[in-house]
Amino acid sequence: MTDPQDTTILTTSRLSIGYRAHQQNSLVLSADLNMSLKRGRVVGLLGPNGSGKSTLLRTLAGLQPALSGAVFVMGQHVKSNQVRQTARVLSVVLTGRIDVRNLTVIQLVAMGRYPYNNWLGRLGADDRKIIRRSLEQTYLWDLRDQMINEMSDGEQQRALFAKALAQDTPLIILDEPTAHLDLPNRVSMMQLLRNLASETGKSILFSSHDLDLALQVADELWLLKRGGTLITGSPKELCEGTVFEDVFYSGSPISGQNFLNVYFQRLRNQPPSQ
Amino acid sequence: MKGRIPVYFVLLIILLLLAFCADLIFGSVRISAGEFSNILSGDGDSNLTLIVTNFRLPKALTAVLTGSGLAVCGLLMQTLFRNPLAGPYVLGVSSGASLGVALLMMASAWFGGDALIQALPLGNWGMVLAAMAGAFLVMLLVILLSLRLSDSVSILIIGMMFGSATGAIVSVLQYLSDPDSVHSFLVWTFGSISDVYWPQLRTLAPVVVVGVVISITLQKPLNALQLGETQARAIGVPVRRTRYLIIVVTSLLAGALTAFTGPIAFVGVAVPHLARAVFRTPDHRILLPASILCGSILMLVCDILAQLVAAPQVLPINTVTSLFGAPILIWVILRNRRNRNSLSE
Repeated sequence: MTDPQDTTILTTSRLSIGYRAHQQNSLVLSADLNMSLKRGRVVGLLGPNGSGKSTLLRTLAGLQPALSGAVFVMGQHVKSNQVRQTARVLSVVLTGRIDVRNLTVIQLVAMGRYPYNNWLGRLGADDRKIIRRSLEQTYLWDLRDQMINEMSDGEQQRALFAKALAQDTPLIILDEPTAHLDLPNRVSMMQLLRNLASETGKSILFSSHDLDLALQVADELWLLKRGGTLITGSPKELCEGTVFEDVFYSGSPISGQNFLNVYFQRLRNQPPSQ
Repeated sequence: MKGRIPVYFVLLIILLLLAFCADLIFGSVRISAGEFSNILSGDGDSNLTLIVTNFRLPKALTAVLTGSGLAVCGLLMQTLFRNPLAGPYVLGVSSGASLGVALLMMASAWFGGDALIQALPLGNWGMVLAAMAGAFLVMLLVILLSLRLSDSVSILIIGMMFGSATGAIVSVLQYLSDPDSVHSFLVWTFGSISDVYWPQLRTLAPVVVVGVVISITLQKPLNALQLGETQARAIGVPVRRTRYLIIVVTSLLAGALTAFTGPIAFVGVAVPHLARAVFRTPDHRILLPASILCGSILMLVCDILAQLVAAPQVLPINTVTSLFGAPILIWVILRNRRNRNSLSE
């Protein structure tokens, strides 16, 4: 038996991501990616705008076809035409408000059980238990009957995360879970991700622009440069050298570079707490 | 709130039965309640029995089929396109049907086709077949395009374009035709549920029942689609297949109904809102049967009003659905908003 902590949840083999426009000219954002993600790890995906973070997450989640190569989650090949099987091994939290009238928090979270239940969406005792646990883990049990479109962005983001928890998958992928949130909500969202990964052994992969917060909570960082290079390492490793400058400037001088240099320097002087 | 849902359903079913009986009783020939119960028990006046079984019963059944079918179409379209203004005709199916009818009534005269049509023992089947052919053609085009297109909004836009293109052709036909055939085409556009008798019902009813049953099996993906297509896919809903089924079912229902009754306005767009306002839920397990019930009741009531308001004249059903339905819906929306505000205060 291998140590469960070393179980690999996600691997890719020679994955190319991007958009296929027509037969010939497809837009390749990143090519030949080989990466892996272990059980219980929190991984932050960082990079400048337009580097393809969202595309990468969507491709890993099977929401968008890969240009070439393959994604495996729990040994299962993730294909964009096998959504039900995919939804049982990984769940996705996307950005953007949910604006459905009369939809309550608990109804939304119950949809997390869709990959498991029958055509009627009938909930069994186990389903109800998982839904309740997901709501409690995200501190939403008391708000379960609130209308989702009347909630603040922070609460809605937590509700969507609760839905992903209810899907009960070993891997949760979040696309910018802290976008549109104020500072306290950003911190508590990140804290929530960290704690849940430690408590439940789920692997969490999130993209973010909050470099400082990601350094605090992530076990591992994936830095995606514009042009498609992926640099991986622990926060500690990446704080040495000038990786951040390299990733975020990608060659071209930008305005405000002095400010950024100071910012990166400060991040390196306060190494991650763990 | 949960406990009130079965109560509402029971009330709606009682209302449906009452409206159905009332629709059998009211009409140009008055039937008293006593005579009606005699007819039911089989020993009523033979003429009256004939009127009820051969005319009023098929008409009332058609009202139920039209109301429920159009309401289901409207709900499916509103959910698929996440647009409260969508209705059964957004895919352009009814425009196709009207083009078929317009060609039959107006253009055929130019080629001496009208003589041929009169010679054939088609009755009103000629019109039904023309409407079906038109609806089927547009339906086929929309389905073929929906297989190629990956986003729903494009399908919505294409449906609208079909609508305005066929509308333009119909206008040209009207402009070039003689007033008599223009008039008979206009009468068709008013909609009518009283030209459907037992032989037509034998075709219409199975189509509507199949369409409604398929849409009920889609309730879970419909619930998920409300979150958006990507979100739905993320919880394991096969979005492409669902969208394809929704479009096929809607075209089938709207096409068949338009062919037999003409385009009936308002019901398809309004009834889903009525159902949502009454039941206050986004759950299609409740919204689908609620729309079926509300749609049937609304059509029956509109038919009764069409018989009574301008008696002995019978108003076109289309005018009644809009004239009497619209204020009801506005009232429901206003009342709903007031409740909402008072809750938040």
